[in-house]
Amino acid sequence: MNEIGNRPLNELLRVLPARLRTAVLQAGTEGLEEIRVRAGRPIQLLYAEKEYMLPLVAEASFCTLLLENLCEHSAYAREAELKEGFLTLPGGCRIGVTGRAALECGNITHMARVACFSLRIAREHKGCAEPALPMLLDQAGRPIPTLLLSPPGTGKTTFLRDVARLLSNGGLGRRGFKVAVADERGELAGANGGIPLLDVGLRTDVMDGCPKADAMERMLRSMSPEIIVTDELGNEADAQAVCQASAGGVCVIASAHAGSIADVKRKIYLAPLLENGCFQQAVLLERNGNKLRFYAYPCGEVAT
Amino acid sequence: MNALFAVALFCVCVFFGNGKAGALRVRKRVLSAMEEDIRRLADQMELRPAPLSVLLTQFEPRTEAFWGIFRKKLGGEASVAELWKEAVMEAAQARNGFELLCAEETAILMDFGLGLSNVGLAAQRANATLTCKRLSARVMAVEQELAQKGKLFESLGVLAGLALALLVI
Repeated sequence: MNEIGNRPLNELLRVLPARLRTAVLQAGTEGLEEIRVRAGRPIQLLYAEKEYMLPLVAEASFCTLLLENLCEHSAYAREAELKEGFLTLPGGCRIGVTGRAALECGNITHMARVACFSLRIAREHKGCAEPALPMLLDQAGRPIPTLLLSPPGTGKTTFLRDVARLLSNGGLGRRGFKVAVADERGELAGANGGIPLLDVGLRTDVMDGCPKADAMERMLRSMSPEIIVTDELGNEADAQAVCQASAGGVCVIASAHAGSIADVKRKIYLAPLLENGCFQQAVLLERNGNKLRFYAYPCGEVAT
Repeated sequence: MNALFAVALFCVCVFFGNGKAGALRVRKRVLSAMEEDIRRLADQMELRPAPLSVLLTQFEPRTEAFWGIFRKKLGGEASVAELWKEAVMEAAQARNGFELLCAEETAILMDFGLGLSNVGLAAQRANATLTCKRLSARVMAVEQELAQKGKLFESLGVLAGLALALLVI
């Protein structure tokens, strides 16, 4: 039932320095979710249910080489992404980076030195959202505006990608919807040159590499979507774009970092979205090893 | 027989003299071509921040022999500075005119390679500007050398050839 695509992992392995690639392959890639590289410390592999420290210490020169490889020897070309603290590889793997930032007038101009990497392997886990599909559709088969919640690393993006695919493709008596994916970091569709490398559905349009608020607004104007899917609402502009889309009669399915409904209430920009009808329900995602659990909270319940 | 030997000696000396002057001209051509190519590369970087492997396929460099080697190396494992250094050394071995560069000129090219790993377009532009200035200064120095010694080498070749030919006859 579940089909795990290897393309993102292969794309990542292709650009890793040979030493690390060999070590990762020897340790095994089955269930591998994340590789953490920290200057001066051993490299850590994170699997669904275990972790493993490689007998390989990342020296500063190794970090420099890794960054160069990830940027195809052209760090200048990824300046804007590095400034935001991440890189996305073709195939959707997201690389978080931290280190020493260079500031000008209090704003980060670029990363002067990158010393820590979080290499998260995008997973195409087809079918993972199928059990939750009845929660996402009403009795007439229309999609319900939903805010998906979970802490980082639970599988929100993988889940959201599958939701987009299922709603776009339709099937089993369900009709397919026109889905627009606002993919700021390129993780959802893993697009390369605008072409999605991961399966986001037959009727899905993707806009990546642009702030999600702008992407939502543009697609709302130009692509006449029935559903907008976007990942990680993170600020007031994103929340306003959701309100705009919702007021335009489009169903928005989005995700946000939160460990509980109480966390959402503490986020100034998120709480109103649950109260003003932009989202009709919040779905809390929990993960135990490879098992995903979903809990739906209707918005009336959340608001109280 | 002696006449033939004298003509041969004369030709060898003239060839040697012209060769020395020609080497200076080739050196100047390589330096100015690299200066122009590096300036164009920096322009391309600003025009569209694509990876080097893509940019190098989209402009026709004057020193294709060198850039071709570097382009092939870009898929490699090492850092971009290492790959650049290897390309400069290989170009010298391939006798494309790079073997005529003096140590200072080779060092200027190596320094440019070191800066290629810098993050940020501004840093790349500064690196290219500095390299172009240094190359430009070397081009002027070689031009002066050519003006002073070029004719001298050619004349010396002819004179030495004539002298040896007369001695043989």
